[in-house]
Amino acid sequence: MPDIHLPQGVMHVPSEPFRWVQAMHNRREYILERLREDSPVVGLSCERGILLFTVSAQSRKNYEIYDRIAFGGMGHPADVERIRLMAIDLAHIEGFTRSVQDVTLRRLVNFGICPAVKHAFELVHEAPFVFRSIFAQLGETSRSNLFCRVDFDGSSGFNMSCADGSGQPYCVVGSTPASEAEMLEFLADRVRSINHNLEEAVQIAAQAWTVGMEAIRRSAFEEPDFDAASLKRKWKELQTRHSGVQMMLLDRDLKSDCKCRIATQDEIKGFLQNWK
Amino acid sequence: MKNLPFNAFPTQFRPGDFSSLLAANGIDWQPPSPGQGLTAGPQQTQATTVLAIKFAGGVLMAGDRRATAGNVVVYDRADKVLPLDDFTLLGIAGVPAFAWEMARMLSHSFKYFRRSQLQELSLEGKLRSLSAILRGNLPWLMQGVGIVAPILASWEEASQGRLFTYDPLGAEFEGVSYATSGSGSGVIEAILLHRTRYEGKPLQQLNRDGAIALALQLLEAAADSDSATGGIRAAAGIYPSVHWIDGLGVQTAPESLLKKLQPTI
Repeated sequence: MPDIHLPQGVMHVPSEPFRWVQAMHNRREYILERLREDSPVVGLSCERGILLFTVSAQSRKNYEIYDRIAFGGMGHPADVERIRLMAIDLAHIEGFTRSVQDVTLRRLVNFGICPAVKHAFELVHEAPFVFRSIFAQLGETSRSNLFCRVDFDGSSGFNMSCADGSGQPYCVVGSTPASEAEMLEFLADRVRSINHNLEEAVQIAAQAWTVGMEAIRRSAFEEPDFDAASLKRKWKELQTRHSGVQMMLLDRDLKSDCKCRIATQDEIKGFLQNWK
Repeated sequence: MKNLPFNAFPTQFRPGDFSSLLAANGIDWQPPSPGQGLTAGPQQTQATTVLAIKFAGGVLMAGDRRATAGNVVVYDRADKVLPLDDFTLLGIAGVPAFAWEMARMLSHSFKYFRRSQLQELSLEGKLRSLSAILRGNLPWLMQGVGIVAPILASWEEASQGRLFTYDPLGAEFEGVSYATSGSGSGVIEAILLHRTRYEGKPLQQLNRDGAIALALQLLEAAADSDSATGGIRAAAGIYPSVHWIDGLGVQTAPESLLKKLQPTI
């Protein structure tokens, strides 16, 4: 079959398009397989701002991107690092050449990160980026907090609380679609307000993380269990194998322009002590 | 945002270096070199007189609010004391067009380093950054345009704060207990020298309110003899910018405190 000649500037379509589609499918399977055992990340709105919660002893997963933007990623540490640095570079260039207020999550994701990630995914002769991520932007109030998940294929999805109380004041990335679905189901049931205090929010996030990890471990015949006592027991079991709780806060109460801070281990222990 | 070429991400030539990131993206933040022999430079706005003093538990920096161009008062509410990060202040004396852009560049650089390298830039690194920016201004300096002579104060737990004066070429000089710059700095330097050397009143013994009161008196003294230094104009609500750094970080003196502590004759 002859090559298709396309106008200048249009990406060349190989003469066997099915092979390209097959290559995309293979890449997707490869990445999902790499992500299967990784620790999920939970993002949750609360009274004071936003928290990003995960557990990992090997590598850091939650980072500050800009004054009011934070990032939580799972996947290959080197790829997470590249996405992180790209986001930081883009944000700072924009913030310097225009203004701090002009650096918004929508612009960063829609016009900077997603196009580049999608392009990298579609280059069949290059290694793809093995990662999944949550970006969070702190709003003036809890209702204007914004989450965005960015996936390895350049797809993105925004969640925000709406003025009428609808919307999803949380966001998750998990190792499998099934574990993500269960975490979202749990959060939809458990998150009754966008103004949980910080302690409640940390406990809910820890429970959601436990749900996500259990979903990978559990067999297909077992039903998910959202009972609080059961989750507490499973959390303790998982802590023996997965240590290193990491929590990044976008804290509205901070006086500084930069609203990101990393919660200390003492703080986290204090929040989880009264787990109901 | 810049269109990214295929398979490329913004690259950094030097990790954590914001100026090289801008250069890699084709952004020239400094004005282009003026070339040879300006025959007639523009009338430059100048902003003058900033001082910094150590007190018990921190360092304080204050600056007057006047910006002048020759004998014309261009602006009476200029901010000459600028926080660069949570624990560093920059006081600018010289041409605000250049100085404010330098401060903005430094502020972004420090934040960029911290976020990308996951550690705070050291004090030495911050001092080098300011020196490099001032040296980069050399082509304009040679034409007699855009002179900036800042002072920098930063918090250090061990020393409870450090102060530095810079010359326009970027040489830094650490102040033992005070630093000052600008056209009104001669008067301030003389008063502080006399106080610390002959009156036996070390500045480090002052509490915070004492330091603020002294800073206001010094700026008033400078304003009395230098027309480019603005004094307090209570009726118009114009007070000097006063900030301090202690263990909690950079804090700003509210107008109510300045009203209470302003010199009364």
